[in-house]
Amino acid sequence: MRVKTGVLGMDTLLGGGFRKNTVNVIVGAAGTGKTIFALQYLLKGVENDEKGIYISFEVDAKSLITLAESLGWRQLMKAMEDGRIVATRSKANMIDYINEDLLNFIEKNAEENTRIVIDSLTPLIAPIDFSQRNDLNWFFEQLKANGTTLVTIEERFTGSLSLPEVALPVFLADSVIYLKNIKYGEPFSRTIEIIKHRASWHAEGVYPYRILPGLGIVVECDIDFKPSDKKILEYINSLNIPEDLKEKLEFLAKQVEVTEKFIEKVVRIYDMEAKRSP
Amino acid sequence: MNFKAVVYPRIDDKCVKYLSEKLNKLDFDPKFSFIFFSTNFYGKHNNVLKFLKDVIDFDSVCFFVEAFGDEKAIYSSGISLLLFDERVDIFKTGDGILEKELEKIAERLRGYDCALAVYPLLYFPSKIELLKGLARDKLYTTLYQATKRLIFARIHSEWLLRNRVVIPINRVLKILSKAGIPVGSVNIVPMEAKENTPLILHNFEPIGRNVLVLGFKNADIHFKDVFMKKGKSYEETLNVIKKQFAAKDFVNVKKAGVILAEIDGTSVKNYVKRLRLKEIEKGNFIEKLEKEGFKTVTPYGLAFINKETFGSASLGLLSTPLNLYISFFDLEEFFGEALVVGEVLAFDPADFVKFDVSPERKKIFFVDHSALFEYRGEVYRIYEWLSENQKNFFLVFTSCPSAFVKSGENFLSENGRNIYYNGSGTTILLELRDSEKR
Amino acid sequence: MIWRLKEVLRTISEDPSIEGVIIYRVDGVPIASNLKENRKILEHLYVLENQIKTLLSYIFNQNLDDTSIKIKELKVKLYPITKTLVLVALSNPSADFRVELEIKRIINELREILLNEF
Repeated sequence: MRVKTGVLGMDTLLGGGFRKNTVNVIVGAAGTGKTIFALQYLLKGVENDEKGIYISFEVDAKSLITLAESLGWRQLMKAMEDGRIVATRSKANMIDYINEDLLNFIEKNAEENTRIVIDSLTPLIAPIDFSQRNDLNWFFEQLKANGTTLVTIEERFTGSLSLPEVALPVFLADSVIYLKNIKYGEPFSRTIEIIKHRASWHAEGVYPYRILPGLGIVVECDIDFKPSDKKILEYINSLNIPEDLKEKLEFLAKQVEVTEKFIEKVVRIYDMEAKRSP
Repeated sequence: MNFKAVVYPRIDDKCVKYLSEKLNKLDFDPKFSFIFFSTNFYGKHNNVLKFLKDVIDFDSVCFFVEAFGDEKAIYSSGISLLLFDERVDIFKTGDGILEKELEKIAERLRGYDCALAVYPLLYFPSKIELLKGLARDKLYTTLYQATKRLIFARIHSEWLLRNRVVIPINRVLKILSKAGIPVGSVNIVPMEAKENTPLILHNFEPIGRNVLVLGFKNADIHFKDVFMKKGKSYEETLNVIKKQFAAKDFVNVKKAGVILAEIDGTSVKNYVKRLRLKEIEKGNFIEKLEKEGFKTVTPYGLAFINKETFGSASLGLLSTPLNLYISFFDLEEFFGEALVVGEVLAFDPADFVKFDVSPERKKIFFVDHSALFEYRGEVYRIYEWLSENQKNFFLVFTSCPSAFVKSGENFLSENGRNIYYNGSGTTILLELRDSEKR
Repeated sequence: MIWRLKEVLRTISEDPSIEGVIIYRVDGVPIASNLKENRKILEHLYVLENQIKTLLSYIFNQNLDDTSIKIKELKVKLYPITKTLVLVALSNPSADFRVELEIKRIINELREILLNEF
């Protein structure tokens, strides 16, 4: 059971959506649409009757409502007004000192299938270094216990993803989505890329996206995500190979589209290695 | 008269299906078709030909070209059909003496508005014939070199002409010009010659070493070349050539008919070594002809000056195993001195198609294919210019397009009264007028 | 849009003298590609990736029609498609005029797809 992102085209690229009870990071420079992505995520929750928690260290609920209004998301505004989405502007400013209030707030408001958004995590962890990996990991574990979280991270002007305040969440997250805007206003000036998606298939490469009123972010994901033809499964079944390999190939073919040629290649490599081992 | 183009720009097995669909969807009954295959289709074309033969019940003329283009792009692979809505009468030479056959056709052309001749300029025969030819070359070379008498070169030339190994442009145009109408000449030499090429088909039958002449009503032929204008004297034209091309050497030649026997006292075969063209021996030559094809384009040429008009025609200098070099035009009409020339000093490729004609009329440009060799990807400028300035056009790249037209433009390629041909740089345009009301 | 671009790339990469074609964005990110299975290309691609940003900025800053470099036995030609996208064609040195003509043709096709669908 996947948690739908609420962003048109994104679920296809993620092989169905986020996995439940995971922490998913959106990285991007200013203006790439991270907050809009987060709002779409919450909006989907509203549509599915799921609780939403929005945590920011800079943006307050009022600004959020203004943004939702500009995109035409009345449902979201209403949900914030009637408490289906709770928003808080937290004051925690160093990971070492994640105050009890923040985690208490989350635990108090979480229900089954809660969607949590932290937008953005950067002010909280900006002065972090790699030695504080465990602290961040522990924080992520708490988030996972309470719901499925979307965390936005700011990409610095240098464009370097290797600074600890970017790299650490990227390492620890279950999935990482990278938004880029080279600001020419041309095709492919805005692209989205899935850098990582643990325990799941995801699309490779960059995909163009746009930000449109009403729809928000729309990703052009023109890939046809489908499992292999039945003929391939029959072909695999007909092969004279060990049962365990057969089972793995069948599992693969049911998830992704593969060709006979590819299966042949895999079997060839397997045979070659089997002959080499004593 | 009007035509519609059907283009399939690839070489694969979906071609037949595509052509079938397009032919079924036509909103008129074609009466004639040109069929152009790209030269790299050669060898894989039989299935498509078979299909077309089964479905086409009107006249057709088919040959291979280096590239073709329509209003969307220039393509170097695939097949195109130009389907005409009116009849085109087609005359073909028979087995008799070629000149006599052409004269008969010229008689029959009176009454047409223009004509287009399609024929193999230089025919590359089978391996056996080629070996015979090489043996003859060796014999006559020996005789010539022993005696230094051009009569032996002439005899060899006559043999080549009688056997139609070469069908010289100027001879064809001179005879057909007697019809008194403009005549365009699509005289074919493939850029990569193989055995039994060029292949030209009339109603799907190879014409072999014959000339097809198509008579058009409601059409015009135009000619242009991309060079500076010719001079009014030998010296003037010599200067024009030096300015236009990278002239390397001024040489004395010994020639007879279509044979170039010597350049500066040595055979062409030896002379081209000085140009650093890689030497090619008999075995290698035959192998190339059998396999990948023998390249007939070269960066070097011999620019001759015409005795009558002071125009110029260039003969490409290739490395071959022949001692008595074969020309594609009759050399009698030219002076015994020539300039060895290299690259053309730049012009805009779009110059090939800058004719002063109405965008509204349907037109086919036959452009010299050595432009592809010379300009490579830049040749696309031709398409770009046409897209901006013309409509209703089709483009075909073929060898040395030539013509008999009353032009008055002093083209450098004028090598006979109103007869235009050159080794490179020429274009002919077939322009279709609207059909007159009947 | 991507599958249409890939389809165009697929047609050109069927030519035997083409080793592969890649559409790069001006910041060096590959957008779409079609590469033949040739191990030797991989090492050249590695060199290319390191150089691509420099080459791209050169093309766009100098408004070049195209750029060509040779890495050992591979000819790499870069053709701008739009202000921010470039087509890189990897070919054998023996690739003839046909390939260049085809590349010019597909650049027009790619441009049409990109600008019409945007």
